[in-house]
Amino acid sequence: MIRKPDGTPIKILCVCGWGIGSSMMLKFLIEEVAKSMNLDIEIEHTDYTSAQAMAEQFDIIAGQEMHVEIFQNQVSAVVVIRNFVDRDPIRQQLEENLKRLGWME
Amino acid sequence: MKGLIEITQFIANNLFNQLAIMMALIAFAGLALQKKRIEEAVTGAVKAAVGVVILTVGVGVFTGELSYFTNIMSSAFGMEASAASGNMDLFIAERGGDIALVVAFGFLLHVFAVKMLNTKYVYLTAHLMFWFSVLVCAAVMAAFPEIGSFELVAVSSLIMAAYMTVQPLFMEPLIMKLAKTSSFGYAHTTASGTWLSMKLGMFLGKKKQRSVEEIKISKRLDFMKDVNVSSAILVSIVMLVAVIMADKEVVAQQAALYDANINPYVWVFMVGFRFAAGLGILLYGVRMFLSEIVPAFKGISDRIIPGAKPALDCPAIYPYAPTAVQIGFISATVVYLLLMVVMAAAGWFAIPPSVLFFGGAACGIAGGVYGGVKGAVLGGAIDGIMMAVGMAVTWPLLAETAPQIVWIANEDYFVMTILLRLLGKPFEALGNAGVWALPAGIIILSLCYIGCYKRKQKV
Repeated sequence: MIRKPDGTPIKILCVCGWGIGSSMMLKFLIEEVAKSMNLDIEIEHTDYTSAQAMAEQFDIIAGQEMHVEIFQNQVSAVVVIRNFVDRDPIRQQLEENLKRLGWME
Repeated sequence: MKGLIEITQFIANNLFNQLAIMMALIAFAGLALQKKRIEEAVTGAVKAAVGVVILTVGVGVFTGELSYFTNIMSSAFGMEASAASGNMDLFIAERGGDIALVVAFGFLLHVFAVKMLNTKYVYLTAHLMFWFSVLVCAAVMAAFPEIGSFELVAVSSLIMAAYMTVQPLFMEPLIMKLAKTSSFGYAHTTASGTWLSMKLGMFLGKKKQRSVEEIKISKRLDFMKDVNVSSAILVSIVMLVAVIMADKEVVAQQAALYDANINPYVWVFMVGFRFAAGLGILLYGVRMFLSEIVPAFKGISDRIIPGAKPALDCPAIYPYAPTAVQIGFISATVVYLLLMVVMAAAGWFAIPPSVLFFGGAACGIAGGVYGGVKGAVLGGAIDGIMMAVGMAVTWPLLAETAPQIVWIANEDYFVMTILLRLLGKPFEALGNAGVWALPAGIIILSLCYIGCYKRKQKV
């Protein structure tokens, strides 16, 4: 399984406005993609305000552009979602970022 | 024999009556079905129960603040607070077990309906499955107050199943136009307003207008993205206006209920903060319990209707038209606040808005994609109007059960309540038996619509 260099799982936070609808669906989607990529992840979902307090605990933040743009400099990678059913853009962004971070070959 | 009756009564009063316990049982069943280990199923069940309790604490906080507001508004504008004997907090406490069963059976019936009728979309917006079930139960009980748990659960589950099956279908054209795909659908209670905005946008047409996305909106309005901030600010502003116009003694008396020594103008902001706090607590609880329930629902739908497309929460369409989102929201808020002032001055009902963002954004997108900038602005306005008028009309219809739900309601809540009341009226003379007219009517209407939809598909 693919993990961070220190052996711990990759921590992902899914964000939406109220933290009860889209972010949860996004969590399910990313779980499926991560499984197909053999990634070891810990994943949570929350609302935009709570995320601002929690951001530093996570490696990757995922969500729509308007909710994740402020996290660009706070976490290792930001995954921007345009669509809640397509796995390919998510897979692509995860691959690009994980390779850039050196966590994946 | 007596022992058996006592056991059944014990189960009915202590298990089936409690929303938290019923949700825990549903979560346990769901996790067991997913073949989780016993400790995971128990942990999940406990989290579901605690999440529900947190949710009800949040509901208690904001219905409490709402009562201050309606009392002040009565004084300020001579508005009928429509002496509501019902309270959503109490309704959920009393009917919680029934509501949980409606959520579960409603979803199961919906999944089977999708399979039998081959209607393609499975409704996956879980938080609305819960709130709309509360609404349907509240509307059914308001129309037929004497019915028992069995009728309530059966009737409401059928209505929920019909709604969840049909609603994504009439939104399909918008998704096709906007996202050029039918890989997902729209599952949100703003559907009727969004559909109307779509029709208005079509009527306006797009010729000689700038595309909505060419407009730039100031980034400084971004602070409204924080749900706590936007709720607190909107409510405080509205309370401030009401307090200025209300009778000083009534204000002092209401403020004193909170704190004997507080200045009323400071209290106004405390009310806003507490509204926002209640909402925040509620969302935290919803998040916790849905996390345990939804995987089971998804698992069931994946197994029974594997080819079905997911119908998603309204933000699924926001990325396709982000500027329309902002235009729609601003337009909806301005129109709503103006209407509030007009309606309150006329002595009609008005309460501060909380969920305007979602409908305003969706209606703005629907109006904008067909009707350009004008369409987006008018779409937002439609949402504002439907929300203001809808809340005022629906509050008295739910007065005996759970009127406070209008504070978190969207267009479909109002349409459904009115529709159920209209369907039930002719049959009221039948007493409790008349309640079956409600699901019968909804199902007949739904089947007719599905028939038309399928015929259009064949063309």
